[in-house]
Amino acid sequence: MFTLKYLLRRLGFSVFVLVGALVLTFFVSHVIPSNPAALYAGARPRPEQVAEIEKKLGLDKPLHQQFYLYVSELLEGNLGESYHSRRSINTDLSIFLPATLELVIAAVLIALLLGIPVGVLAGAWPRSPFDYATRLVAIAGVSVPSFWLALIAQFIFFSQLDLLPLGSRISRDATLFYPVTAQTGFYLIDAAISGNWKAWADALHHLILPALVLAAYPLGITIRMIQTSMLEALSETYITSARAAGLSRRVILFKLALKNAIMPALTVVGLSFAYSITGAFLVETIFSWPGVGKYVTEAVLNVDFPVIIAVTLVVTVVYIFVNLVVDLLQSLLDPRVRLA
Amino acid sequence: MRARVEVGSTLWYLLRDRVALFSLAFLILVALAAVFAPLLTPYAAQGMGDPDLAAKFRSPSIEHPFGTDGLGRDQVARLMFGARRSLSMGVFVVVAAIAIGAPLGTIAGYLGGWVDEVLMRITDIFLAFPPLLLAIAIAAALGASYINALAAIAATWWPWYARLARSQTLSLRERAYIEAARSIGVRDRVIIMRHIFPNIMTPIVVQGTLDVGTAILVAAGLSFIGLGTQAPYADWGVMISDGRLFFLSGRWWLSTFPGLAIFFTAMAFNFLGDGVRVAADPRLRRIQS
Amino acid sequence: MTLLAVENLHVQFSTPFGAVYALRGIDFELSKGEILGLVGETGCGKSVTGRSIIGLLDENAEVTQGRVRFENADLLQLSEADLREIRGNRIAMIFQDPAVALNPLFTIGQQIGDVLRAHGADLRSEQRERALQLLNDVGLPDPAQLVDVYPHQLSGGQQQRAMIAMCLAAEPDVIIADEPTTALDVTIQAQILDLLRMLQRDREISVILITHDLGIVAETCQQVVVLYAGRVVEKGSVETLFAQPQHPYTRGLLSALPRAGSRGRELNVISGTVPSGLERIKGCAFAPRCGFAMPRCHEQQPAFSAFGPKQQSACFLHEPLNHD
Repeated sequence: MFTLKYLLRRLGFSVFVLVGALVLTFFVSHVIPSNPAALYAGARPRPEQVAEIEKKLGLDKPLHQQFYLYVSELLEGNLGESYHSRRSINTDLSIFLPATLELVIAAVLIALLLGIPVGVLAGAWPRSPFDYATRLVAIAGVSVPSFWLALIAQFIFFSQLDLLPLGSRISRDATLFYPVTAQTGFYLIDAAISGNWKAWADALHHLILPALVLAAYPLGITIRMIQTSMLEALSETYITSARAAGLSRRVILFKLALKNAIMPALTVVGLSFAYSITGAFLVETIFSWPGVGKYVTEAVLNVDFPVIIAVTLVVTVVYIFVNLVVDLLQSLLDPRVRLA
Repeated sequence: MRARVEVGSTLWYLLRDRVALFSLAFLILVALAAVFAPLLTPYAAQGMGDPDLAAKFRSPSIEHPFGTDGLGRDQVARLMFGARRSLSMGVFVVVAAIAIGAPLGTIAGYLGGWVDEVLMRITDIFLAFPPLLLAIAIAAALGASYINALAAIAATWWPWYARLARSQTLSLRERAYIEAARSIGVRDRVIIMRHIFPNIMTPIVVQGTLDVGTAILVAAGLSFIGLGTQAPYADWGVMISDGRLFFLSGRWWLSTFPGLAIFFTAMAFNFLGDGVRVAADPRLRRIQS
Repeated sequence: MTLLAVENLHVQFSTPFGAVYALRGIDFELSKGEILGLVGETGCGKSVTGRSIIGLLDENAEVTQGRVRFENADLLQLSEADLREIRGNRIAMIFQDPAVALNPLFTIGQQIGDVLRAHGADLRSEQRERALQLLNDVGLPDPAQLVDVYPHQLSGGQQQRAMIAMCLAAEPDVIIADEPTTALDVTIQAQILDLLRMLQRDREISVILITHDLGIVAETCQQVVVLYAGRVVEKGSVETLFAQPQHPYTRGLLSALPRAGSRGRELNVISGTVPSGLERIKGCAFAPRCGFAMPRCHEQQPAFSAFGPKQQSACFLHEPLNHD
């Protein structure tokens, strides 16, 4: 088990960056814009709208009071309302966030389940054709623009092959004839717990293409990191001493080196999550995936500033939480961190 | 003397790396096409955004190898003029991020103490945001334009270089010649400028080369959602976005070519950066080459 | 009785600056139950010699000539699979820094267990029993507790003892110990050397002790082989060689040695520097630093001259003068 001291220090760090993120988003929303109220009012605001917002946001008050107002609203769990649709951002996010998380988690799983074994094997057989092919795939993964890959994927798998749907989370038939009852907001989970297997298969069918596209970048990162750490592990003295002791190549590669190489895998989880989210912001629109990415992209087009800030904040909080969990897991697995 | 040997052997290794050299050649070609675009295409006006409605939606042909878009603009010309913005965006983002991050990181590493503490905690906060997200918010706050997108990305990118410069400075600070210079009362400013800065630039340039490809991708992403280059100009991200609506209805050439341009350019930067990274690091040379 | 013989061993490394001639003809014999010291300055090829015996050279290294005879076989000709049977099982190796030679993510017991499994032991309970026994044999207190700890929880000396326990797991005939005490405190050094001597005495294990420290050789070894720039310059039994060093290089080393037997001094007190290995050396490699060098020393390689049954030295000074 990790020590209490480590736990507290790590928690303290999370709280610190959380507060820092608050300050930074406040800065971006209240200080950088030359006219914050106009931004909040959205595209082509009327003067009286701007005045009303200025008052509502307390933009006439000194900065520290504005910050106080900003934080106290957030602490009440109120993210404000969209200036475009006039809807509560909380309500919108409660629908959109699970959709994005479902997509992102699927992408992270693909990236890890594929990337870790491939990276390990490529690191185990350096300079083999497999190694070179893997390096090419990894670099391609981190070089391809996700939104373009999304279009190409649609072209191939929908237009040409007609194998997978063009977009959205679930087909219209499903929503009409066997609707999913929302509980967690994750369709695959909701459909499974209600035994609605037709809808489950339908949701999975819709998930495949966007998840694969999102997985490209984190897959490339995962392969590169695992491959590098495998190579590094294999160049350590303890591998030489294991060889000197007559251990078989299989044991050296897949037991000794692998365990050392796999350590960064947890870091890769955090990174994969971050890059999948980034990708989601760009490709959800293309797949008509009703998540926060599409939400933000539309907000950008409508200059719906409160939505942009709210999403930035909420997604960052999720990301900070993921990183916290990853770090704690890592300290559980690595005896050196655990006892530090 | 030592530095010269290092640069020499780095170049030696790099020149042996065919993939890296090929990538470099490709990037030089793209850059030349961007710089001399007006001389290289008969459709310079279309490249800069003028419509030619008589020629709209032409599929690829000898005359228009990559076809034309909905306003009849030659896609090759668009790509070459777009390269100016996409490439410069990638390079300037990295240069700006280094210009902010490297001095801050060096000072933090050199002075240590509370300056270091404060600066590192600030970088922690910036790095707590998933990439792109904060850039979207800042770009939106600044207003959609090429220069604002550039500023927004650089503003979220500098902490990486600050950290890198700091860790490099920390390891240098312990070196005997730095301590000697300090002990005989050479001024901090002089030590930093003359001894530390030149020595930490190698790893920073290596990282920078690797990052340009990613910066081009991120910039294209911002452009794609409408926060970058504005009409009538275009960069590659805008071109993909413009072509998107017609892409699946048969006009496949619209988004395909700008996408390939980003893809190949980012790949070339990654290959080149990898090559430089391995060549500059004796340890990596040993285990990777 | 000769157990292992290294004959005319040549090894070279390919580097970006050209081939580096690391070993340029090494010859020596290891007898059963003796400790042989392989001694020389940094870069003289002593570690390379140790590693080439069990085929653990880096990928850019190549054996260009020579043999390593071990029980009717030439180890250099064995397949990787056959070598694996030898490694650990017949010839084991101890490394300089136990902190990096032990795998940080596995407990001591697991690492010993891996070696046991590689060489035949199947039962898990049996393995644990053996591991406890081994840890006890190398003088670690409280094996029952240490068997389940990770390397970083041990001190340097304890780590090296654990490393030795690993080496003993498959009951080898030869242990190659590459600077086994260099990374340790002086008091711990003595204990580890005592342990090696004990193993040699009680189990008749032969040891090749690679070191730069003549003091250690004098205390620990029966035989000594002095290397210079990839060649043997002098070899013999410790008593005769230390009493009457013949080669100018050995004499230089011994005169640089502090009298009171204190260890830990580097040997580079002879003026001049070791050749880089990049250039092919025509004559005696030591000639440029040698106070007695003659013109022919730069042109030809001297052969070994015998001094009694137990000592050989390669120097033209030993040959009758012939003015050419």
